[in-house]
Amino acid sequence: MTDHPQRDIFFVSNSVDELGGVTSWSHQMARLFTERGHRVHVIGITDPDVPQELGELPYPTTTLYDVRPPRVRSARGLRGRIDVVEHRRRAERAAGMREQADRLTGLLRAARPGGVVIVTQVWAMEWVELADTDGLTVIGMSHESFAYSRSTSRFRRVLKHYEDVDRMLALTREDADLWIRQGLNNASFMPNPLPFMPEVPSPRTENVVVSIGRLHDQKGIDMLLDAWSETAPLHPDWRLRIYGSGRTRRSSRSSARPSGWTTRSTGWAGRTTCPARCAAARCSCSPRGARGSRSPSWRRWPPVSRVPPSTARPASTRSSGTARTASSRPSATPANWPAVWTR
Amino acid sequence: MVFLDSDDVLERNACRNMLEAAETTGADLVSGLCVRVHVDSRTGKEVKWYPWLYERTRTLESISELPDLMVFDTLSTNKCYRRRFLLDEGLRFPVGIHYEDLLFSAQAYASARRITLIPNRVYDWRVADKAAAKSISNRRDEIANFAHRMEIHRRVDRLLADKGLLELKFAKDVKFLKHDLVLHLRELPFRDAAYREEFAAIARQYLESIDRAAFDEAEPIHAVCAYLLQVSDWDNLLPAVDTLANRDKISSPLVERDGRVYWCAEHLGDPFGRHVLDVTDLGYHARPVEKMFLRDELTSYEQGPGGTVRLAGRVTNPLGVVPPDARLTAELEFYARRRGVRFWTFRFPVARVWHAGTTIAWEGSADLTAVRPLGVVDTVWDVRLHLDVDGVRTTTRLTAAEPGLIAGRSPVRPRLTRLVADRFEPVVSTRGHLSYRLVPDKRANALVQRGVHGRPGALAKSGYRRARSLRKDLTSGPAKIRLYHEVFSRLPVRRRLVVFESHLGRQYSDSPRALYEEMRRQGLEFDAVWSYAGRPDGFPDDATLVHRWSLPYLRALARAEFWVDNQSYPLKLTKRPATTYLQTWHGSALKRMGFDEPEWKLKSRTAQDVQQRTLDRFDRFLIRSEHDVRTLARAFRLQERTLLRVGYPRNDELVRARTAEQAGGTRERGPLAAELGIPEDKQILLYAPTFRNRGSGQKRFELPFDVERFADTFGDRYVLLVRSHYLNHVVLPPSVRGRVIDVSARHDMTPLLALADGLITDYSSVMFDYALLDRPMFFFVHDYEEYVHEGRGTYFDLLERAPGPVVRTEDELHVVLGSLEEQSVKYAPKREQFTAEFGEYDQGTASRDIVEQFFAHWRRG
Repeated sequence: MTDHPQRDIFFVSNSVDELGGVTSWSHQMARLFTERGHRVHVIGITDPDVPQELGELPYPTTTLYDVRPPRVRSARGLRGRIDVVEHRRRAERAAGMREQADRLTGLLRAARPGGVVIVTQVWAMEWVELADTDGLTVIGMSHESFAYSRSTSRFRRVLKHYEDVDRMLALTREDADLWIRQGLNNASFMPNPLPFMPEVPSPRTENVVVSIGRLHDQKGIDMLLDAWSETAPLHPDWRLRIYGSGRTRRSSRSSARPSGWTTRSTGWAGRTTCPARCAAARCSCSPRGARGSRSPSWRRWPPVSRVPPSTARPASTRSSGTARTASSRPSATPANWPAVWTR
Repeated sequence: MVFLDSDDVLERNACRNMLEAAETTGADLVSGLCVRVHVDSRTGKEVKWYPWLYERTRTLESISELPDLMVFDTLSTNKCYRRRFLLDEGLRFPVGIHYEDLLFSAQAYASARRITLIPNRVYDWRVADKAAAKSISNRRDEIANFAHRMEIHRRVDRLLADKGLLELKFAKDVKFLKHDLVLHLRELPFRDAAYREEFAAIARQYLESIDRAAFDEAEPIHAVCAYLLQVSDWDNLLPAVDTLANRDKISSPLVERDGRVYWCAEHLGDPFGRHVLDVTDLGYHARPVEKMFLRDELTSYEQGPGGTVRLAGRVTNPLGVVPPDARLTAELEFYARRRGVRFWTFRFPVARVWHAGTTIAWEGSADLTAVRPLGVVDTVWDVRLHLDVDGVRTTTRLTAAEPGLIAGRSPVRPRLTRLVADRFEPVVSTRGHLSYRLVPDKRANALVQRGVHGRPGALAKSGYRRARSLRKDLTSGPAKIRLYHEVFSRLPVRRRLVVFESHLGRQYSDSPRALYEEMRRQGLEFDAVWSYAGRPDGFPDDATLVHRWSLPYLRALARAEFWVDNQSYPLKLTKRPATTYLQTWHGSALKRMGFDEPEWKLKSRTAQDVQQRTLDRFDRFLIRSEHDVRTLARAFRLQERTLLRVGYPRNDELVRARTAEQAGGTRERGPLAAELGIPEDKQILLYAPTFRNRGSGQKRFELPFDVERFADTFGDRYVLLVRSHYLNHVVLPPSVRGRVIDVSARHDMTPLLALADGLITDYSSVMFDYALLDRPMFFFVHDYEEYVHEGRGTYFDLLERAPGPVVRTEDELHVVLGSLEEQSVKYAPKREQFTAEFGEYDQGTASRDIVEQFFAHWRRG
């Protein structure tokens, strides 16, 4: 089937089964590699806050910590330096990290020559860094836009911990360029594959806009609501449907909800329902820019889909290099939401 | 194929990155970022080589898509070439000529079928600044080198002509004027007459081939120098070169002809010369003497007996900015160049200063033995001359314009004894200024060096650094904020203490001023503190003035009973519950504000919460109309109870003016008209556009219309006042003097509004205030689409609601300005509607109402 050598491939993430795109990506890739005969091992540092049902897996998984490693603050100022409790906690954490890194070393040792370690999140890199990765290729990944990283503590950590990996991968060329300009000369990019392909394309008949994703601040649901409250009155026959789970809160003082707003709890049935949800919509929207995770790549999508529309959900695939979207327009973005509807 | 110089370094990932790019794009040529690493630099200096070319990965099908690439990045080493491409095109380095890589890379650029640029750092160009034998490209002082350079330029030009790349030749011409020529010109003051002549002959020949249109693309001083070189005017060229080396320096006496300012009086007969030498737009004529950096040419330097040097020089007096009857004094000042070790400065009064024709001449002496350096870390000393013109100080540096002018050595007594150094030697700095270098005794030097670099030196240095960093920590922003919260905020709140601030301390103006003056008028008993950001000039005498961010400022804020402000007090300062914050705000909104701006919405939740906390400090927020409630209050997510529907105190004066005008039937002009020298028979128009951010720190505001044409058309009827936003500044040519007046420097806008018979604006919130006067308004929105649609958006459609004609072009503006009366009548109903909608609470009683509500109990007796 393939003329590539069979390799040992390790995915190292914050958690094996945390709800979210990184987990879906890791396991999708892990399956694809396994199907091609590679030996895959998915490793998580600790258990997640919100787990995701993964089903039967054809490869082993390992979670390093039984109990979450303690959170510590950095030792700043005189007070930070003389805080004994904090001092001890830091020492404990460091010892724990070394111990788990040794365990990780043990797992990696099992690799045949040519093995690859794929670190999907920078937090996990802190352990991989301590482990012995001699003879292995280490790839560090950032599954969010540069702009979003920039506004979080991950920015400094990516620069620090990914500095010496063999390759650092962002999701898009644009993001990679921005990381390069921060001094990560090992940066390049790789878009994520389409997570599913429905058998029946969306008929694009229902006047419905759909948003599917984790309900998290970074997904910009509040902005979607703000934009919708301005556009909905102009298009009374359209509906907005937001599917997702997770925790989000909406500032009580932010803009008022539009009249006729109803909330229906339909429950989140995971990725399995995605195709159906998308099929019942004419347009999908997704976060972009500072908040979006995958978005800058979407800018490069052709404005008119070149392949028969499959789902209402735009996505890109590495293999075909083409993009699919139910809407014949580029994906709606916060900055131009109103424009998309009124144009 | 990649080239690597023997003393340079390829970045670790360079080959992989260039190869990956070549493989994905199929380019013949991949180029990456080069960094100049200064290996001798104390601070590890690194300079990126034209980084703006390498901001992102991009692929060019031909070099003509990005002429700047060929024009600026002329290196052949930071690139990866397809081997086949080099062979097919027969690309070789020329032999027997320096700067051969310039020609090689130009050929490669011109022939490559596809070029990919990557932002990765690929190449470290190691630069030796102090090397005894400088590398070949640094030895510019040899005329042969220059000849080689020009020959390479000619060959590249021929190549471009052969390939038909004319636009590249133009870009290259511009770059030649702006960069290549400058490098060589800056050497001229250090060269003798023979070199200068030879240089000029070669350069003139090449300048002939340069497109004259390229002069317009270069900066004015570059064009001036190139022109003066072309006409061999050495007397004017050498001072002009001084400005090349010192960008802000005014090195020529300048002349004014027909309302324009020219670099020199010569060559104005030649139309091209007149065009190039016109430097009106630089705005020199509008600067006061203390804001000028004047050329001060050293005319004599004599080493006297002992350590005394006798110096004489002449200072340029551009456009006679130093009047003939001015009282003149001067002093020489010696100080260590390294800022961190500038412990002492030494001053010597200058014996004689007098007017000498078009310049100011001076002569004096300085006893260098009185100048006492430490001796080891402050080994370079600079000199400057302070010239006091009627008590106003302007500072110059002494330019040694001729080689061999300064010579001699003076004995010196360093504080670390004469072991460390025993002589001062005059040297000319790279910018052409007189400076001094401490010269150590050779034998003692070895000992000293051992001390400096050994244990004692290390101890002294680290101790000093630690002390400095401690001092820096203690005076840093975070330390001040801690002090505010942990010390000042624990002191009791002082009753009747009010802190005022307007526009972050930049002005004494706006509603805080109006409210303050009302409080004084009513004779309230209270302690007033005004904050200022720059200088305290123009702030009231009867208040305590504190510098923004100073300790007295922070203490006053921590202890105040009231904060009154129109923008924001420092965001990180928490307001105490016992303090009442009256936020007067500085204008109703047309553009979206606060959380209605996409930028704010894009902030992370934490950042939004932080932002909200600073807004929640407002206890009271002044409101002019329900429009403010719908826009500002909502955008800042303010609680209903904080809204104070009283109007703006600053607008009380405007409402009063209108009432008086309607009652009396005449418009009274206050003393301001006379102060500005406006004749009675002229009507006054005020042009007040909104702030334009043009990025990259550019503050110059280009007027969107031809101000000379305006003055010529309307000068007999109107005086135009130009008020740019306080963050912008504007330059008016001398030709419009008396007809167009720049009033941007005035603190307060309100008296200008009251004075103006008509207002021209674009999107500025001044429209909401001026409307209260019920006088004609004109909306000159030349960039409407861009401003309104590409920016953050507006709350309402200006085109629909504007209470006056909205025009897009200068011609239209001239038409509607034809008659103020006509426009006044035509738009009367719209103005009324506008005022009702946006200024309903502005009834002229805002100050009084606020005093009544908050401060009435402070009345005496």
